[in-house]
Amino acid sequence: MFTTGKHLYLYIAVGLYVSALLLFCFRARRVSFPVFFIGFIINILYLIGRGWLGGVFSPNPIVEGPFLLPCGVALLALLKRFGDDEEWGLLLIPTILFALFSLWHAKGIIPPTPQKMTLWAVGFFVTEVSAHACFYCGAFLALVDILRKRNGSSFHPFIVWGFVLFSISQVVGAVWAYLGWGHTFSWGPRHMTTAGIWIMYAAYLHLRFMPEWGIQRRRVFAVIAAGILFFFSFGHYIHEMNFPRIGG
Amino acid sequence: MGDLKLTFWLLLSVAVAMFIGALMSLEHFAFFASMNEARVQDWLAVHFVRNVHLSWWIPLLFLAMALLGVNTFICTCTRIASLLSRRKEMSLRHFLFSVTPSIIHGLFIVIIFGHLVTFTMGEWQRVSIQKGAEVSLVEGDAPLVVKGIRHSYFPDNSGLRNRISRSRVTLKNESGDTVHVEYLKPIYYRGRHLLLDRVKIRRVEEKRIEYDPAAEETCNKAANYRVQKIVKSGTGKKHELQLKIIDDPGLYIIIPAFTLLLMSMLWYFTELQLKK
Repeated sequence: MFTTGKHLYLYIAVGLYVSALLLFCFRARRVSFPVFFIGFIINILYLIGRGWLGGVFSPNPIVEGPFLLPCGVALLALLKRFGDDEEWGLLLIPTILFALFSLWHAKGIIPPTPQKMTLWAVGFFVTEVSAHACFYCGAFLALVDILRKRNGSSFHPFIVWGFVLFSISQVVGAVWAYLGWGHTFSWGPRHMTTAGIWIMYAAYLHLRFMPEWGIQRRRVFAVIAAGILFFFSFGHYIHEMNFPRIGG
Repeated sequence: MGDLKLTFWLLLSVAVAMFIGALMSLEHFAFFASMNEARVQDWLAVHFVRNVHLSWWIPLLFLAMALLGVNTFICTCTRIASLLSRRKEMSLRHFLFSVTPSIIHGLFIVIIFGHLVTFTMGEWQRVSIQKGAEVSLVEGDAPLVVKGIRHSYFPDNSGLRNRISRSRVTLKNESGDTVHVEYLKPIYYRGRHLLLDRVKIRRVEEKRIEYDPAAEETCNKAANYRVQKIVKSGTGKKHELQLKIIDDPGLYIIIPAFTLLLMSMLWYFTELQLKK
């Protein structure tokens, strides 16, 4: 693949995201979207190219969190734009922040063990990272509402669908964990973190039925929950930077 | 009990306990990993008193989960009773939509129960395998004999050369029937699941090899699958292929319940979106 090993494409994608955000902020929104879209396509092509970093195709590097997450957030921005939401460009901010992290992150691949070479693993990472993208977008929009002191609950559907995606990742992950290691749940940091996150967002879903938790308090909960998610998931990404890698 | 506010705070308590456990297990990975292959009551009996500073959160987690389960059960029963009393006033679709969250909660209780069954009734065994070795699944039963072990490697011209991509172990029973076990393809044999694993072994003396789960273990297992062509004698590390023999009665509760929960959730939130 022409983007394999050529990390310049990731830099180009991020540059286009930044340009799109600047155009959006300076009200050149008609130009902003095509620039963003081109950046998104290049980002996707770079992501696919990662599959051959080991010299033989493996889907695992494509779905690695630090690299898939910015694409996930960008996809949500795209969906918001196609839903005729004029504020789609706000989601460029978390897209760029996560993309900057991926620029800093180690770009090589962790050699896959035989237990990771299954579509169950791919399905798990795709749904988990997509869920994270929804949670972060929901939290970001909640934060914007808090700062702008405005009404609206546009953040809520992101968290609801993020929870659905995260639930899918729990089932897929449990199947993968059993096939690979003989446990649906493991007393280790990875499993306990994801279980805690699932329970935390399950708690959020119940707030709608508690009158004392008005929209403002729910926004704050969404932001704090995303902060906790960020602490654990990015802590995990940074920890993985210490693992021996191939291809950068 | 049977209160929504209590549900919320119990959910947060469980989440906090999980996060504490996650942070603890980051620092003491091998210590907590040993819980995965022991019944929790047996593990706590050995480790809890000796390592209270590490394991204090585990009983609190189980207590919070138990209270959450009871509270959820009472809430669910109350809700279903209320809906059933008003069944004649609503259409079937509206009734199903209204009762789905209760079904989801009921399935959640089933999942918690399934995990409890796994934690308290599961059985795990590890057996080192090499060609010709005998593997006993159950004491007194005729053993399986390892007839062959075949490894496949990534291509030599790739960056992943000298790394195992697949392994296939052939076992033969007393009747002459063969079974094959590969990574990610566990087999069900005489009431047990058989899986492959590859672990790091610390060689203490030249003749004695011990499986020591604390041998610099981390969550990254990639190095276990890198084959060293030159084997050094004396003390050092080597990797060993093992067969895991598992009896997990909770598996048949957890996976179906979680799948049904997921399907219910998907239907419910889609209906909610359509109603808007």
